Amino acid sequence: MTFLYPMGLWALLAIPAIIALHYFRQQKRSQKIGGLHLWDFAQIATPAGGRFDRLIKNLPLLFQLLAALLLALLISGFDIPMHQTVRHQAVIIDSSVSMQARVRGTTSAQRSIEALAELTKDADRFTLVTAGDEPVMLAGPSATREEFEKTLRDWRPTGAVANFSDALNIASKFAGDSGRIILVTDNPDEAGFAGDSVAVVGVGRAAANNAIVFADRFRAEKNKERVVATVQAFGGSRHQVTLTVWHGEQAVGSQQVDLETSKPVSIEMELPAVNDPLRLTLTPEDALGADDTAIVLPGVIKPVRVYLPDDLPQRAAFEKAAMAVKDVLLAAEPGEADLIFTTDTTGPLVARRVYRIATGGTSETLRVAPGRDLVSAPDSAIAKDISFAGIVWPFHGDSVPKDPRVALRADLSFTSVPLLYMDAMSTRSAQYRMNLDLSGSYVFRHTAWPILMFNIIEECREALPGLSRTNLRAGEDLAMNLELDPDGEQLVTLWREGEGEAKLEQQDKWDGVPPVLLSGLAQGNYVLRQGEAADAPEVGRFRVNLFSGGESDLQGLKELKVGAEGLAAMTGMGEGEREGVRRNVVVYYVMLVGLIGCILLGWVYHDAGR
Amino acid sequence: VEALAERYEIALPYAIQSPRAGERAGRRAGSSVEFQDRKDFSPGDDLRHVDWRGFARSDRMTVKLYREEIMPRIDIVVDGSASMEVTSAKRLRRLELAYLFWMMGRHLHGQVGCWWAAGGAPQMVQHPMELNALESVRSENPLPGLKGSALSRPGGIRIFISDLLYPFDPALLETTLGACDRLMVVQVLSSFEASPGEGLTSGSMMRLMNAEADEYLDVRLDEATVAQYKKRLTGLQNDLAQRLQRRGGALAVTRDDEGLDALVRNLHAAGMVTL
Repeated sequence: MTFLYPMGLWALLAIPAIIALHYFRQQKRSQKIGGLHLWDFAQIATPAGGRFDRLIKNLPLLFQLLAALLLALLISGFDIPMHQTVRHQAVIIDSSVSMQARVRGTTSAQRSIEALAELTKDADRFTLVTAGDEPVMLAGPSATREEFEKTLRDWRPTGAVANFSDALNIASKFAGDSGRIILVTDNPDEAGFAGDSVAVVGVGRAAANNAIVFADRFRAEKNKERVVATVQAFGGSRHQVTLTVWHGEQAVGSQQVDLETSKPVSIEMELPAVNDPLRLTLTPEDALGADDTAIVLPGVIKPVRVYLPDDLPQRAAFEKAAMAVKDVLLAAEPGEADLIFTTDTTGPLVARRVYRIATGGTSETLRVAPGRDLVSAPDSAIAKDISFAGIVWPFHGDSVPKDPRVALRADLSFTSVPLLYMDAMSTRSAQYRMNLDLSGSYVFRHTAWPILMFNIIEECREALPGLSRTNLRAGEDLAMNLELDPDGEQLVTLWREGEGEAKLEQQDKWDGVPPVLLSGLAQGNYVLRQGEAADAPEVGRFRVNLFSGGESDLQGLKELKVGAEGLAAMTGMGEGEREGVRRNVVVYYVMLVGLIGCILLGWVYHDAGR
Repeated sequence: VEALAERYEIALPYAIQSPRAGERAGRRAGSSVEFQDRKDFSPGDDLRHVDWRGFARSDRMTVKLYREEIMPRIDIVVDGSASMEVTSAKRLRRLELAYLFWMMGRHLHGQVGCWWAAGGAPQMVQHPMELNALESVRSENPLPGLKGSALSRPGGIRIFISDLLYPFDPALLETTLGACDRLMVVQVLSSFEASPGEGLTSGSMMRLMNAEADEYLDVRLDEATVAQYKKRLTGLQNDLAQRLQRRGGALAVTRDDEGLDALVRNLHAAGMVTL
């Protein structure tokens, strides 16, 4: 039972008015006289008349009261909505962390709840989709208003981004043809793509804000580590902020910097090495607190063991470049190595990465001519950040593959000739071919050489089991290469640690194909385990911090209030649909017929009451 | 009312029975010292009034007539039934009439009594204004209660103020109040009782509530019904007037919406008061 226009219930005041008029009219129409005997030519009726007589006499009043009641109900839009006519409100709410920004006393999240309370009705049914890193349906489909509001009260926006498009796809499916989609965000300008069928409600307020936009830590020496952080001011004038590093409850480092709007400032602090998480805080307090804190875990140390055979030509150049890279060890035996450079072109793959270097044959005829540069694959992890312009790369023509398709991935090539390419791979290992005439090359003296070696070693390090990084930004993809215990459960579970019990976020069956890719993770501490149980063996641990300049920048936020009328106009809805409920036609006509019937019967029995 | 009482006086009957010796000169020749006329002697005349000197001069035996001195007894009987209070104007008119007659009676130096008749034995009040404090009683007919009361004694002037709208028996009126020198009845009606159709659309429905009983009558006040009622009311008034006139009495009818001047004109026209 609903009332589309509750103000219409004021018309019920007509009922006491009718009763008063009736009474007054009766008073006016009766006359006290001294006696009736001169009137005895008419029949005398006494109050002791039968019930039926009294009923008949009161019929006009009853019909008038009933007509007034029905009229009031019609005016007030009385309705008993049928289930299928209930209006579906698909609500998309921006669940990015900027919704936590508190400006002039309230947060955008609080204003969202207030706005939705104003725009929706009790009879509505809801689907609530949050647009955070990933869309999540928090309530519904067809949740009651009570469930909807309870869900909203428990909701906390923590996303590093607001993924509206995916949320809109979901909401559109639940809204169907007759439903309405309401998008509530603190940045309505960003939601312009939604189109006319979506009502966009702005709840943001612009404000200046300072934030930690990046932080990590590295082991500098055995007992020392470096904490690096980038802080930035978004809006406002010049700011002086203090970045403090906490180990537990103890401040272990602090640095004060002056910030200019939109100019990131890097801060580096060398601190005693600890194996515990460090907490970074930025003061003074500002509109958004979520980006003023970061937690950084100790960095990962994955040493790469490199094997360089004694008979490797230019071995010294290899060794020098390799040892310049952090966490590199030289292996004495090929079986102990992660990375092998060898001139053996046919041996087994005993290491994670094997680079087979071509030897023999002439290189004179296919010498790369000056001005004709090598070409590196744009997505190559090995050739990235290297400018090969002007480099002369002598190679052995006899070792050029007859069929270029043998190269599974060509990282470096000259015209159509692959010179550095992968031609074999397994789940754990890969084999590269390097066609470089080591004896006649001066590549080793070029600045590109140490970078190339660095990239090769780091690419190998990436392929080693375990996490490569431990401090990520929210929404970032995490590439990793897990090698599970073959005797354990072949299932990887990702747990998010909070104040209470760890929560299972993702799980993936291990099918032996690395890497497992984790994406769209919200802020928090995460643990990877081999197995389904919360206490299964730990295989990795990492931290996701916000580090989102887009969310920290509150300057473009704005309020865009939309009343019920505006909402109806925006979504092109009719009068009856405006309040979220389609009129129950049966009820409407029953009341209308009843009203007409009452008027007619009141007229028929008009004289009965006199 | 007092001004009117100064201007008008109660019209006395020609033959007033009691008491003979009063301060008021009667219409008949009496025993007062005020000479009025002469007449021929007839047997039975008081020999003390024979004009002996005239008899000596003319041999006609005449009798000196002296103006009668009377002290009239006036009883004002007020109907105390609820029907007299159907409107406040009607109730007021009852009081005005009682007071008017009471004042006029006092100007006659008569013995004026004011009685409240409400079904039971009549109750005498010292002053008509006391009537205002008395509660009316639902009594269809106040006349039976007057039987055997002081108001049934002979002689005097009786003024009965009532609406006569109860089942009225003129004979009962004569037996209860008729044993007097003059019975004057003033019928007080509300404007509706006097003329029910006035101010209403012909054919209007009306519930008539009996002030004396828990009963009502729903009537359509069309012209025929109003005419029928008026005919019956007029018949009642004519019948009563004729009966009263035969005994030297009078009937006057007054409406509660009339002014006092109109009231006195009615009383004058009915012969109840004189200037």
